[in-house]
Amino acid sequence: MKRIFSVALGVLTAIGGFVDIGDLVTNALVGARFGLSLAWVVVVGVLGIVVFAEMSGRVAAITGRATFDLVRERLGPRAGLLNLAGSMAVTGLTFIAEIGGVALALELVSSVHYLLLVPFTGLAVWLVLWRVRFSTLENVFGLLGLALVVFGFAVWQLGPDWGSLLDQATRPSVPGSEGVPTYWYYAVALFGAAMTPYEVFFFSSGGVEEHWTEKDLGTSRLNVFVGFPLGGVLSIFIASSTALVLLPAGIEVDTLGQVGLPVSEALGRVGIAIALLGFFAATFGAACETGLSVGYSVSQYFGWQWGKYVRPRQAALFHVVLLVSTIAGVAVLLTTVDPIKVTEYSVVFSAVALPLTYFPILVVANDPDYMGEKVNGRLANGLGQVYLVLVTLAALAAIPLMLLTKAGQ
Amino acid sequence: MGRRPVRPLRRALAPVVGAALALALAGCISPARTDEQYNAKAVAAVEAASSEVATVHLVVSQRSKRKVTSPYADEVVTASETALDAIEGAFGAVQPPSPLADATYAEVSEVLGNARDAVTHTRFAVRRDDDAAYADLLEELGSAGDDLSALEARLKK
Repeated sequence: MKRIFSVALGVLTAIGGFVDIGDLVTNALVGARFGLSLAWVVVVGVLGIVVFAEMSGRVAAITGRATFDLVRERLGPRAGLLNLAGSMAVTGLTFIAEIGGVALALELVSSVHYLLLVPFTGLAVWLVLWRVRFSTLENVFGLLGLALVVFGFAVWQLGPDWGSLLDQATRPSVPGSEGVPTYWYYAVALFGAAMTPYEVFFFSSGGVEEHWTEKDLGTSRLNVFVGFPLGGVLSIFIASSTALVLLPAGIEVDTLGQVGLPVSEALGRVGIAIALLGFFAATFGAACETGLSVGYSVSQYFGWQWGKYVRPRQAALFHVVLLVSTIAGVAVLLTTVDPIKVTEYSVVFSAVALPLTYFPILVVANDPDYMGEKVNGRLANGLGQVYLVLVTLAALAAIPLMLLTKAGQ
Repeated sequence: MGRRPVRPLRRALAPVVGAALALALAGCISPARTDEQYNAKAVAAVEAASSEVATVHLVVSQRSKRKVTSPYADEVVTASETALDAIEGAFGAVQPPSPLADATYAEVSEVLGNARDAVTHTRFAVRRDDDAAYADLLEELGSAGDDLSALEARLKK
């Protein structure tokens, strides 16, 4: 019974923890501009994250070591440093966006300007990273993030023409009011949002923190194969809700407040209260995960002691990285840079950094010296290689499309 | 040997610098050298303003039915008002390239100003929780939205 509870809890937290500020904003924005004509990208992105999260979880369970620990050893310090710089630039940007997202969610509840809330948000994130147990952090915010299921109820309550929604999703086309480059720019952004690099850093490092062994592979795979796809369904509900309410009204999403309007339209104040709880949990949980991912990756590369299960005194440099990155994130937000714009750019730059994150995982998961009999099978390798081509294409296209479309305007 | 780490560091920083450059280039406001370019900027400003007015119309409609809380409505309206200020400011900062474009400037500025006024009136009412004002505001916002749509259609011809 305890085992079943543990597995169910893992799956639920994987669903609730899947959506972050990037998924919230990008899916809402895309739904309001393109309807469900880009839903296929979410499906492709979720399959990609499933493929690589399974690999990184397996690597953690078999070797007992996390991604950057092995990247430096397997690819050498130079390639490892390039990998670290690219991935950390994107994860740092995502961390800033998540802290800003928490402040924006709190602003919607309190009417206090988000810039006044940013320092307190940073302090709260740092305190949680320093004091709260890893499992508590993962379970509490993952479960509260399930509040975003309210978008699914909102879509149902809005009584859509399901056939039309399915038609948009299954027969995608570029809407007449949008250009082809803009369509592909947002396809790349959605792909980047679904495959954000920090998700695999956190997943694999979390596996090491929780001392996964070969026996835990089943649980890890269940979390990935069930939790992540259901998290992707949540993303599609968010896009569907804005496609139903904001698209016909000619509203383009540029604030977090607009993301919640379809829920209030369908379910009133109770609905929006639940959505706000979901916004807070999704962004706060992701802020903790991205902050930890920065600390994990830097510490693993330089060979420092790291982890939430280690006393702060024994992992002092790891905690210094957490503190410095939190202060830096708060400082950037206090320049009055728009957190939603940071979010929009972070998902596109995620796409740029994808090959740096996923290529080494594929290499390590194929190395029998590390993995023994648990190296990738044909299916994992086939999918891994297809996705490596896709992430490379997305990485190459991201910046030209950004310049060509003036960041999707 | 002592200089060797410099190269990987430089190489490692290259994508970060490239990304920052792309970010700066994507975000900057370019000048309008021809009437066509100026017209395209006018269309973009009017489209963006339409979205903000429609947002405020939706949130007032929801607030009048008590579907959203007062702080939430206030935040959404304030954000749209701020966005409209930014749209007006960005469009006003572009130099009209010819006397013909001056007429476009005058027309767009007037409609954007009316839209901003409607949204400002809405903020007053939402912060005072003035339920009685919502019906009139929905009409004023609807009219501002119609004017923006009509102007957008004219500019696109």
